[in-house]
Formats: sequence, C-alpha cells, structure tokens
Amino acid sequence: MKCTKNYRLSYTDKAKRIVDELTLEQKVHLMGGTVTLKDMLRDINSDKHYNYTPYPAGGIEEKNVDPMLFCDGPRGVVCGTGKSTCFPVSMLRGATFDIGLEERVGHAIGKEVRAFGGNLFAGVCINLPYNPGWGRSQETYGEESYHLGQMGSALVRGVQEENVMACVKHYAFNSMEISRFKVSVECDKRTEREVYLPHFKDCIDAGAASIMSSYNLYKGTHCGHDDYLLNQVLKKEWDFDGFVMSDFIWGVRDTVQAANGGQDMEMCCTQYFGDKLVQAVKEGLVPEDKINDAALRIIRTILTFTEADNNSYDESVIGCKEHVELALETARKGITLVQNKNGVLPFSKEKAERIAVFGKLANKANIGDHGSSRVFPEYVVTPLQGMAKVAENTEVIFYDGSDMEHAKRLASDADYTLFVVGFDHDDEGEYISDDKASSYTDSVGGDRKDSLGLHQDEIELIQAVGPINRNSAAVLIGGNMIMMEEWKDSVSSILMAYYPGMEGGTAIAEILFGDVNPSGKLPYVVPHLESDLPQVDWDTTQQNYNYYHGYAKLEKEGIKPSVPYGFGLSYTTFKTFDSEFFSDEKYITASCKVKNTGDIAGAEVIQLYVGFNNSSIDRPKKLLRGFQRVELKPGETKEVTIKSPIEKFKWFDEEINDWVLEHMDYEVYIGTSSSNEDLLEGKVTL
Amino acid sequence: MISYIYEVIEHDKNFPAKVFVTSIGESNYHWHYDYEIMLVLKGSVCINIWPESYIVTEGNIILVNSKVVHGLQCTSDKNVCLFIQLKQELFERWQEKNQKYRFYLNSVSEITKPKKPYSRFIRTAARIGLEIDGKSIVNLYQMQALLYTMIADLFKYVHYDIRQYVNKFGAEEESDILLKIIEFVEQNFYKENIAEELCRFIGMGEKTLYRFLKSQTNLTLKDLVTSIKIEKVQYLLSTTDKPIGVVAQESGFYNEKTFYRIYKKEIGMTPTEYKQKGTRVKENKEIQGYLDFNRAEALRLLKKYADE
Repeated sequence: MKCTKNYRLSYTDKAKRIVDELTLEQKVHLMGGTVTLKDMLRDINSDKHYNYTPYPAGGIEEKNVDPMLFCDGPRGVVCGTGKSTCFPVSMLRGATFDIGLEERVGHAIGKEVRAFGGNLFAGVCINLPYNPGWGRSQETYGEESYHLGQMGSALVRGVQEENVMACVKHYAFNSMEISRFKVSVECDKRTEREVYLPHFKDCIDAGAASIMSSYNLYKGTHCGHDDYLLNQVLKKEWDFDGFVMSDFIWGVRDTVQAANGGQDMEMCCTQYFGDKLVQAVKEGLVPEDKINDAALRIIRTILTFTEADNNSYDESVIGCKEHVELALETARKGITLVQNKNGVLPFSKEKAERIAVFGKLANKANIGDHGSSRVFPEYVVTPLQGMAKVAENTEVIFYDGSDMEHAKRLASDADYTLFVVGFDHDDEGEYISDDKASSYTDSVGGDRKDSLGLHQDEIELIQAVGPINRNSAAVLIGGNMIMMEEWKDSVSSILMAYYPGMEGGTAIAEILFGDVNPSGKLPYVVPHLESDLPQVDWDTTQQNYNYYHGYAKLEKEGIKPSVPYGFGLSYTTFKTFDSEFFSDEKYITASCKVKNTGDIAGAEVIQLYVGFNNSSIDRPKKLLRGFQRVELKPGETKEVTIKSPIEKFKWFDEEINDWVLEHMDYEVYIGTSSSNEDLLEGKVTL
Repeated sequence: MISYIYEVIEHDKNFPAKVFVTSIGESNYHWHYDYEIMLVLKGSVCINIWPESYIVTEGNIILVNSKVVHGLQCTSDKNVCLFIQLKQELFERWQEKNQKYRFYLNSVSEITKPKKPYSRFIRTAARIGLEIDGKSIVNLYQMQALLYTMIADLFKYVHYDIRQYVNKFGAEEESDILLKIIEFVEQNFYKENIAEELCRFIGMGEKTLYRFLKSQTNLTLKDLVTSIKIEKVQYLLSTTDKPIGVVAQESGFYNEKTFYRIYKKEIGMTPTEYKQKGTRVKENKEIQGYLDFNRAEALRLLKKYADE
C-alpha cells in the first residue's frame, strides 16, 4: 500500500501550507457534504437511487484539493444501475476466513470505485453484533472482534492499494437498527475496550484513511459528537491521522457539540456545519484550531490518495468478467455446510432426474437488504437458475410450498428435495420506518426483533415435507445466525448461504451437486435456545452491552451450542495432529499438521484459540486469536503455523486505565472449530 | 405414449387465445405450447394426459398445461365441450423466459384442489364461451377481460409449480427448431446413427439436444424415435396383412426380441393381440376429430354454467 499512514504524514507540511492560505469559510467548506437533500430525494424518487453517483464533500479547486467522493458498500459499489459487481455480503466473506481473498475483493471494489469517479469506499463495516438479530449484521463479518479486525483490515488494504480511501464504520457500538437514532448504549470500560473497540483499532492500525461515526449514542452522547470516542480514543490514543465523517443526515445533531467533539465532516448534506459552523467559530463557541485540524486531516488524506498515481479506470472494469468470477469464487468459499446426515450432500447428478425445490426464496434474486448497501448488478443468479444450469440433465421443479399435500407429492416423486428458506430485505436490513411506502428502501428491514428463527410457514413446510424424502437439504439465506432446533432433524443436510451475491445461485448449486467442495466456517455460534444469547430490547432508548456475547458467553456459562463458532463441514475429511506451541517476546506460535484424509480436494480453516482458565480475574474460557485457511489435495498433509501477537492476550484494567498482560499459563488450542472436540490443546507460559 | 403431434394453434386476431365449442370424436395424442382449458358442457370425454387417463363428465373443468402430451376420445355418452387455448406468452414472466408454469386445475382428479371452488373457474370459462360469436367492441373487451380474469385466477387461486430451464434459444425459435427435429426424426427414424445425424442437421451438441428435447417435450431422443416407430407399426398392422416380423423390420425394429418387449411396454398388448382386435388407426395427422353438435344447445349450456 502506497498511501500508508507514514506516507500520508509526509504530506503534513504541504497540507498545512494550504490550510494556512484558506479563509475560515473555505476550511469549513471542506467539512461538509455538498449534496443537497433535494438532489438526494430526486435521485431516490426517480429511476436512479441512493448514491447513484459518488456523493461529494468539500473540495477546493484553486488549491487542487479534490472533493471527497463517497461510494457506499460493502457488498460492492452502490453506484450506477446494472453495472457494479455484487459480491456476497460481508458475513459470507467472514465465513471464508480468507484474508487474501478479502484483499482481492477490496482491489476489485477499489477499481470499480475509481471507474465510477469516486475516491472513497465506505464499505468497511465492522460492527460487532451483540445479538445476531441486528438487522444489518449482513454488512459485518461475524461475532468475533479479532476476526472482525482481521477481515476489516484486509478490505482496507485491498481498497487502499488501489489508492481509494477506505472508510471504516460505524464507530461505535452500532449493533441495533430500529433504535439506531435514539438508543444510548451503555457498557463498562472493559467491555468497551476488549469487545467493541479493538477491531476498530485494528483497522486504523492497518492504515484506514477515514472512519464514520455512528448514529447511536454512547453513554448519552451522540457518537458523532463524542469527544471521548473521537478526540480522546481515536485521534489521541490511537493516533489516527485521517478524518472522521458523520453518518448521513442524522449523524450530526448540533453544530458546536459535533465540531468540538471531533467531527471532521458532516455527511452527506451540510445542515449543522457550513454557515452555522463559521458563525460558531466567530462567536468563540468552537476554537478555530478545531477547524484547522479538521481541514488538515481532510486535505492531507485526500491529497495523498489523489496524487498517488495517474492511473485511470474506465467503465469496462465495472462488473467485468474477472470481478464477477471473484464474486463467484468468494461465494464458493464462504457458503457453509452445517449438517450432512448420511452424506446426503453432494447430490448425485446421475441419480437426480428430478429435484423438487420448495420455498419462495429459491426463485428470488436475493442479494441482501435494500438500504444503503444495496448494489445494483447486471443480473442475479437465483438458486433455481443455478440448479438448472449446474444440473443440466435434471428436471428442476419449483413450488412455493403453499399447499402442503401438493408439496409432499412433489417430494415423494422427486429424487431429491431442497428447501430454500430464510430472509430478504423485508425481514432484516436497514430500517427507516415500518411504512414501506415512506421509506426510501421500499422495504421494511429492521432487526429480527420477534424471532431469530425461520418464518413459521417455512418451519411447518420443512417439518411436514422434509421427512417424505430423506434425500433432502435446506439452504438458509440470511445475514446472521438462524435458529435450527425446531426443524433440523426433519432435513438431512443444511447449507448456510448467507446472501451470496450476484453469482450466489451458481455457487449454491455447485456445492449441492458436488462441483465445489464447501469450505466456509460459521462466523457465529448457533445456540439451542435464543435465551442463551444476550437479550436486547430492540425498540429502546437505553441498552446495556454486557461483557459476554456469542460463543464466549455460551462457553463461559457452560452451555453447549447447537453448532459451535468456526464450524463448517466438507465433503472430504481432515485430521489435525502433531501440534506444537511456543512463545517469544511478541508472539505465541501454534502449529499443527493437517491432512486431507478423504478422496477429494478440499479446504480447511485452522483456528487458534487462547484460553484464560488460570486468570485471576473474570475472563472468557477462550477466544479466537488466529486463523489460516489451507487447501489440501486428497491425501496431502501440510503444516500450518499461526502466530498471534501477545498484545492481543491482554485485558483492560479500568483502575490503571491501561492494558495488562497476565503472567500465567495460557491454554492454546489449534484445530478446526471452537469446540474443544475439534481442537488440539497445549500450553504456553507468559 | 403411442404417438404425438405438435399442433399449431391459430389464435384469434383480436385476443391471445383460441376459444371454440365442439363435440369430440377422437383426437390423437398431441401437444401444443398453449395452456388448454376444457369445460365439458354435456356428456363425457376421456382425456389422456400421459400417463394418466380421466373420464371428464359434464360440468367438469380441466387444464392441460403447455407442452403436455394429451389425447381425447369420445365415450358412449355424446359430448359437447368448450375449449379455451391460451397463448403461453401470457404465462411467461417477462424477466425469466426460462421458467414454465404448470397449473393443477382438474375437477375430476381433485388431487391438488384450488383455493377457490371449481365453480369460479367454470363460470368464467362459460362466460368466455358466450363471447365467441359476438362481433361488437363490447364482446371484444368483454372477452379480453374474462381471459385475463381467468389467468389472474389461475395465478391467485390455483396451485402451480415452476420448471426452471436454462435455454439459449428464444421462444420464437424454439418451435421452429422442434418442428425441424420432429420432421427429421419422422424421415430418419430407421437409421442407427440418427442421433449423430440429427445433431449435425440442426447444429447442436448431443447434450444440448438432450436438454432441448427434454425441456420442450419431456422426451429423450430415444423416446421420440420409439414412439414414431411404434406409430408406424400400428399403421402397418392395421392397414396391411404383412407378417409381424416384416412390420417390425419396416418400422425400424431390427431385433425381433427388442421389438416385442418395447411394443408390449408401449401398447400394453402383443402385436398379435392388437391385430386380432382389429383396431384401425389412421396415419392421417388430423388432430381434432370434431363432430357436429347442436349450437343452440351449446349456447343454452354455456348460459347455464355462466349463471351457476
């Protein structure tokens, strides 16, 4: 990456000189989006849509400072219609546990941003879902902070290597949708530092140029105004050199509070900055130093990126073959096989004269929610189309399942049955209001506030029709964990497909029929009971985030999950052995051999967990602290070595307000999921 | 399946359907792209929708899906039937031409019942029948309104499933290609390397041909060849006194043992039994064996069902 933090800092003097030449009005101009609300609404209400073209902010032509040109994400570039590559959502990409792949996705997105004329990609969403019901979970990578940090950093690197600024969002504690404009999140300092902020710091350390403050409040203060989060933690402690921008329209609520709180840029319309901010400075309510600092950050960052290369990208790169192939490759690597009784999957193409497919989602182009992350690709392959394409000699019969008896007859006449069930943009996603018509998303979205399970009609369908034909599988579509207890015994195999992108139907069919060996791993835990998870009041002004969530909570409470974090099956089998563990001053290193003991090629994700059972304080049983994806031919053995920085083993001591390393024996585990049964255990002493 | 014929349906110039009342004598197995609704107004007919057969008595309604092979025969009970043949384009999703709908509307079998009583569909069908002879602008719009009502009702109240295909051909082209294939097979059925020659003739790979035929007719090339051979056998058996061995040879069955096995499977009896029964079939490819019927009576019956 050319535009590293150090490289950007080398532009400080140049940027300072420009700032010194600017009037107060010009400096403040840099700090606001130049889209008018009218323009925005015109786009949304015409045949265009939100962010159809990059949204500009600032820019001073006579000083050769380009405006910031904002392109949303993360599942691709939101601009244009019928052009962009629609990648699988971040949750699926999280399930690949493949950092190199996420970097490649970043490169592709970076190129498309540039071809659209943008210079910033705001699709590095790394919020940690306190509860998987969060409606925009699909935009993030999973429930584990370490993993979020790694995947988010990979996207930052990929995008910025194309000399496009990456914007990390939504800083911070943004894990509830319906209440996002009003909820104040409370948590203790350890939770804040150990659970909700580390992945943001990881992405800043990876060199992210920009960060977006969230809508919600933290301890009573709007995050877009929050001196603690923006000035103290981000800019001072973490030494962030880039600029902060607000979330759109409602992210800044007060001129003085926001400016003094460390907000550098009001997006995407100027409502509280602009003239009001100039006035506030003149009245002495906001020190001009604040304005100078924001202007310096904005100019320095934009100059660095815009001067980094002279390449130009034409539109042919948008949705090009190579990028669509990458979207397909990602889907193939992320879709996760969760259950496969009697090896029913893969279906045999030879035996499959007829496959009966149930569930309305089989026949739907379903690439995720209809909010700000909605990408508009040229086409979307539905699961049904994918199957007709992949199993070319199989009769593919689709029935929505509304008449159970008819469904049963179709199932008994078919060689295989498939259920495609789960969610779409009306079940989860960005939320504006309950009234579809008044929302620009034209869908309901929101959090899954009533249930984390399938719809009742889908559950009944699987329960009634599943047992008719044991050659059956369910494909789950959704942005985060879906409960399985009520119906998982009624179907032989379960495949989690998330929202798999424009080529998702192809990847699903290839995996079902064995052209592709699944290798994704769940980036979240599946409990037996929803009550095993932290409880959230989705429509509230006050929500506490406790220290424990996800797999760490279940494990701490001694509750066995239905499916462990990091779990995913393959059509081949793997064996791990010969583990070794040691430590030096900076790292813990764990290694093991992994062998493909089956007869087809496959990939396994080797995971490293660190245990804190000897701790003198309350700490999790263990936490993920490293992972490595490895591909193996039949019979092949490889040695996998994973290094994890000791920095990541520390806990945050509120009393001294600093990170502390416990000197003790740590359990170290290496293996194929977070379940102890899948892990080899060792010990290191620090 | 004995034989099949592709029927070309000429729709009315003013609306995307063909509607007529007739009395059925016998129609060979045939198929068409249209969705066909039959309402029996009087008497009964036997409909064969391979592999099932139903006796459809008066007051019953049945829908034959696009491209499904079917045949009709009169029973001893003289019949009058209303036919509504709806263009398949009416059922195509404009976004996804590779999907074919299959509706389950059959008041005789009642296997998958619609969500509304059959009387609703019967009433609409009869009212469509009543508009046939009118020539006024009112009739024309009334006819269109009723046809679209019927289609909306099918989607809303009748269970249907969808066949998903991958297809590189446009809908226009499909029927032309299929007719070419059928013609070629009829002329070359006796050749051993027919598959190879056919592929060359229409410029398709063997796999593509298989998929195409299967999606269009639900038959393999082998099925198609067999049915044409059997048709030829039937014709020779009932119109000549040639020995069975010769009939088999002339029909492209070069192995007598195979011939007997296939014949029994397809026809349900041996060739000898068939010959003894003395059934005569016409090689003539006339599909509709329509008989005369009383128009006034038909009108009265349509009114009756329209008002019910």
